[in-house]
Amino acid sequence: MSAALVATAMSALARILFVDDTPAEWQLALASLADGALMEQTTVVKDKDEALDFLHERGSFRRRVSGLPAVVVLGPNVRRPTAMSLLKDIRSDAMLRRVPVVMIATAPDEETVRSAYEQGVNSLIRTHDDVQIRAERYAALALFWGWANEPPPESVGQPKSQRLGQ
Amino acid sequence: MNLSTDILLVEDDPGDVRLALAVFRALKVADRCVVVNDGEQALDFLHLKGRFSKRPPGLPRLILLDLKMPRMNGFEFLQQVKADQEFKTIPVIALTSSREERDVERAYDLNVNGYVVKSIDFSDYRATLQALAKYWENVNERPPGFVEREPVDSSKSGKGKEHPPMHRLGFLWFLSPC
Repeated sequence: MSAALVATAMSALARILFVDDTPAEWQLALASLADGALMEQTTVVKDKDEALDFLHERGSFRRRVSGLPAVVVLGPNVRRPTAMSLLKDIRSDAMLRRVPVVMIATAPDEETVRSAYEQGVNSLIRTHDDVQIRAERYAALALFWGWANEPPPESVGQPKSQRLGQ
Repeated sequence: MNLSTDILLVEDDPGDVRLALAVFRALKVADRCVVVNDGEQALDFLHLKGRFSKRPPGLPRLILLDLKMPRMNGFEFLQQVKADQEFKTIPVIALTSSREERDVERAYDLNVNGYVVKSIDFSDYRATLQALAKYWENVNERPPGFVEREPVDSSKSGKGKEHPPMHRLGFLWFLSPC
């Protein structure tokens, strides 16, 4: 992904905030989004600090479109302690605590899965070596969290029900 | 073979039950779905009490929860499940006709894992259920405590071919009239 495209994505509003420091994973995730509109509304940040800057609309994100994403996705290359720390920060923040968080983990053992759910992750996905399977999982993730799920009221964009004109 | 449950559907509307089960069956994503009609029955199921005292052990890997139900409603059930150390890791998705902001907020405040609004448009609702089922049955990591079934022994089937995973067989287990 070019720096320009990342910069463009960073300035946009986000229904999906994707946290991962590996360009190949960004490219796969973005390419897998079934709906072009979702791709345009996905913001990629590389680490916990950037994610918090984005969520709090500060630093390089102080002029972004206001509102919270429909989901925060912690990519497979975010170190597990960092992912858990970010999850804890989100859940303990009065403004952010309702934001859905999905964690993508490499070979999580039972304790990791249990701990993630106990700390308040909404969903946990096991990553896969097969790129095609990973792409399918990203597409399913985007479809559910970016379209089917009703995000908390403070999220950006209209709820699905209103987007459908109901 | 262990007999555990993939989806616990907590819903009092027979029409909504039929639609959800039809979608799951068509997608072949749930080999067993237990239907109960209110929060009290759902708790009985989780605690192996009442008419569920002799059910096979194990936790569902997903609970789909209507919010407006008689006796114990969805919010009360959600509060109890998420406060229980044994059950709090089970993903619970609110499946409701309410899009009122206060209900969405309350559900998230009670740690619901997802919130899906039943659309009045049939095709849209079906597509929504498909997205839900594909993600939570095929992609989401199942919670600890879910009892894996033993794989089907194809040598006993007489067909001489490998069976798909049990969770894709589309066999539904009805415990409630619907």
